[in-house]
Amino acid sequence: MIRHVFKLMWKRKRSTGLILCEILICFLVLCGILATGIAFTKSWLKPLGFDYENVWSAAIQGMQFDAKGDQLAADRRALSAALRAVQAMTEVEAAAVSTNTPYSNSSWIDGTRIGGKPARCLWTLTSPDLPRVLRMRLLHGRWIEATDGALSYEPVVLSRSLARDLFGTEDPIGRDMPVFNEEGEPVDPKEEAEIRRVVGVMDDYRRRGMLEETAYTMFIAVDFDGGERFPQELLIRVRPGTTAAFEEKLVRTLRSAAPQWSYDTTRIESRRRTMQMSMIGPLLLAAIVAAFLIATVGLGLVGVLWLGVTRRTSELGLRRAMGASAPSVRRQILGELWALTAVAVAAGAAIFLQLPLLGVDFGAGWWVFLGGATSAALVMYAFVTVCGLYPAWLASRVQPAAALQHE
Amino acid sequence: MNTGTAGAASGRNGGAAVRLEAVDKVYSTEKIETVALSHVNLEIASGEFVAVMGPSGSGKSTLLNVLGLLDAPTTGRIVLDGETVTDLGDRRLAALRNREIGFIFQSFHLIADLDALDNVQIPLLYRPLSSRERRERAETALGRLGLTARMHHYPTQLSGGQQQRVAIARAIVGGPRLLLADEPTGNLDSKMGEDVMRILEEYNRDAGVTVVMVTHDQRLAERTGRIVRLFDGRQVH
Ligand SMILES: Nc1ncnc2c1ncn2[C@@H]1O[C@H](COP(=O)(O)OP(=O)(O)O)[C@@H](O)[C@H]1O
Ligand SMILES: [Mg+2]
Repeated sequence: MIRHVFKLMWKRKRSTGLILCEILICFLVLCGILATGIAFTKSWLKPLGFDYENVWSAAIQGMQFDAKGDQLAADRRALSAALRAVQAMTEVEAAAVSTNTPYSNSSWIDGTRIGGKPARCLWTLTSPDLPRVLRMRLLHGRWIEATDGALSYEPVVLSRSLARDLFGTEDPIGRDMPVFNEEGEPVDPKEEAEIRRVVGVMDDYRRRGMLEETAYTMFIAVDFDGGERFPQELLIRVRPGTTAAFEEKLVRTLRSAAPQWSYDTTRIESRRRTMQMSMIGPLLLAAIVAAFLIATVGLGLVGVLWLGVTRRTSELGLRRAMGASAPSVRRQILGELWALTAVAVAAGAAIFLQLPLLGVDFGAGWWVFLGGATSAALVMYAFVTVCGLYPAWLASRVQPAAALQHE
Repeated sequence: MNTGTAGAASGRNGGAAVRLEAVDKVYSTEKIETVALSHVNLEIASGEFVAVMGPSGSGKSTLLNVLGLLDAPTTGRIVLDGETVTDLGDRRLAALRNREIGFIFQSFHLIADLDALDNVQIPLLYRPLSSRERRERAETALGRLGLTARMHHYPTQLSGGQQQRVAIARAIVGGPRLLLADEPTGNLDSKMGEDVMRILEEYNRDAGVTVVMVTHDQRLAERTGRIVRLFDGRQVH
């Protein structure tokens, strides 16, 4: 029967071609949506590597990014004073300055090379209390310390993924960060003015949750004595039960410690919500467009199948006359549709799975694509079956005798 | 039930006996009611060759459809080999059509998108057979009708006579015991019509299959064992 069905499909390729294309397009759209869904879910299930609850952010307004000389020295003193003043507040459990803060739109990124390919890595300049503020976990070695500025090298702490991809299974502690020239060729780090040496490994820091595109982070200590660049944001963990009145008090404290700047305070929790909302909008839009497309294809499919059944009345009647029962006619119509779907899905999967092979994988693994294609195939089968039920029922109602008079 | 492994060529246990008792067939549409058969009583014995004659619209096709379980009578009873089949369900009727009855139509009703071999296999698709078995049986049936060289031709590549022979192969491939032919020679010239008639006669004689044939051709009708005449849905004697 399967061969029979495929023969008929092949002979009728003109009319089946249309259905085939519809199913193919629908399948590809579903592949995209479901692969995205899988990638998001996978990302959602991964630990963030930090805790954002009860954490406030105070972004500094009016600090010059590339200050020099006296201005730079004044900024250093003011930032350090502001941090100390906040740490002294009774509501505050821990506070730190940092770049690449959670759910923030600004990033400090450093380019490096991993396995010969360019890679992006969060360049997180921070102070010693960051792990206490964000409740991050140290895996090996040590975290950065206030006295690190006195060392002959610059100590850095890597996220687990970065350490693994840079150094493999070898112990990264004590290793120097690789340096590359402009052509991307490795250079001996010893020849550099300042060596960055790995002193510790942290859990991956996925600071934007699902939206974080890299699990590579390098933490470097802020040097309040001689540094030239400074984070423009404070992160503050308050004790549980701290009231909303804290916000005003925080601003007052910061103003009196460093009155030359103004401060923009938010809860990290609310920043997280805002960021998620901004993502849900486009996602919802994409879902609506896709749903619309699929509904259109579904209606079209029902129409084409319906037409096909009416066109084939005499063939179906003949089959009934030759001994096909109503259920077997219904099965044939659905079987033809399933066979067609198999062809469309195979073609669609062949197209879709090219993406990861060509390296266009948007940071998701190839198995996300495979998962997307597999679930899209399942959904497609359910979908065409639903679309085919009514036409198949119509076909099974064709009477053997009536059909033969159709001439 | 005997599955007839001997295949296309031979009917089994001779032909089927069929009896219509007080059969009425009324087609009702919204506006009109057409009485296509009115109180028909007809007994056909196993192995008989019966011709059905009558003017156009007199109910000949309807009679054949009712005999062939393609259409249920409005009232009355059909008894096939002693079994009342009038109230059987769809599946059972389909199985009876598939195993016991072969149809030949005036306009062949071959599926244009399938070649001769695939057309002949259609009744076998609804039986639990392997595809090889189906193919072999269809080849045997086509061979018997002298169409071995035309197996892979599509209907449009065949003459009318050849198409009708493919249709006959399809009707006999499952080894039916009752063969129903509705004006099988109506679309053929007299030479081809004669061929078809000879095949039916042979099949009736050699396999003992019961044949009921509608025809307008008095000379062909006279070669059968009995002529049933219809007029306005009634049997005339
Ligand atoms: N499906 C149908 N619906 C309504 N009327 C029909 C149908 N089939 C046949 N008839 C009518 O029944 C009568 C008998 O038709 P039919 O058996 O085809 O005659 P014949 O084969 O002798 O020419 C005719 O009047 C025909 O119009
Ligand atoms: Mg007729």
